[in-house]
Amino acid sequence: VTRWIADFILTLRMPCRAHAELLTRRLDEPLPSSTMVALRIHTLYCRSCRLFGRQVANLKALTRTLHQREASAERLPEAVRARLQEACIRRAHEDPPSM
Amino acid sequence: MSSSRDDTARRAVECWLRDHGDVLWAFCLGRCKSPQVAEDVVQETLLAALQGADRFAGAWSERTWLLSIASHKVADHFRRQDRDRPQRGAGPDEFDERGRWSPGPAAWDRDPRPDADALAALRECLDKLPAGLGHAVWLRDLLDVPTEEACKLLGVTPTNLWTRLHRARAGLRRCVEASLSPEESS
Repeated sequence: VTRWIADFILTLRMPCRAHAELLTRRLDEPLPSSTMVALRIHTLYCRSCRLFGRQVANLKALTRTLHQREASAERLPEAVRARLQEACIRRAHEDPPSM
Repeated sequence: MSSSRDDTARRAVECWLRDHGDVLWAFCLGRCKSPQVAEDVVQETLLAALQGADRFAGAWSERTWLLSIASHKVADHFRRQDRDRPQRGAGPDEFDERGRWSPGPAAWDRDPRPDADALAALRECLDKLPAGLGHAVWLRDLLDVPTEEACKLLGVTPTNLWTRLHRARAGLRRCVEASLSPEESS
């Protein structure tokens, strides 16, 4: 409990720069509960951090949508597919893979 | 090289091209912009996959594994072409010397929706990211490569990866914000 409170106070006292880093880091991994609670409290009264957190989360979702659209928009041309197949087999024969 | 090894390689390449060829092509063409370069990069990707097939542990999907190799090959291409932009950071610092916002993020009238304009603006901003930052974003945000694996691929520590992701996302946010309100940035 003492450690939790110490982490909580430490996080709460950090400047916005550090909170912004935590707001992006929480998109990648779960943060300790003491950090999350302090982050929530900070974003309650800090409008800039609140906006930042919402915007980066929104952009992450938008980036994923972009990737999905791009991935489904282009098809590998048959001529390129054939050339790739031939070139890979030829080069694999010249320099045998470890498989 | 034995004919059985030739056959194994042939089957693997056929299988990869059949199952993941379109995605690899779209990924490489989207990054490299040139069909010729994209073809070369896909070829290098498949060869590297053949060479490393025995190291594919199956921890990720095969597609993610191939895309992560392609991502490296794209980065190699830009390094070779000397187009790899140096780590200029993700733009000007948004904080003062005490770590407070200066200025803070602007409120967007609306969150960008996945329409053509917003996606085009985002693509432009992603292309502007320095390669080291962009690569981290591709691995984590697009390919969902786990942190530990992404660190191995990039040769960085988790702390360094999170720093890169933070800088990349902060840079993207600023760039998209500027494109959402061009009259303010001009």
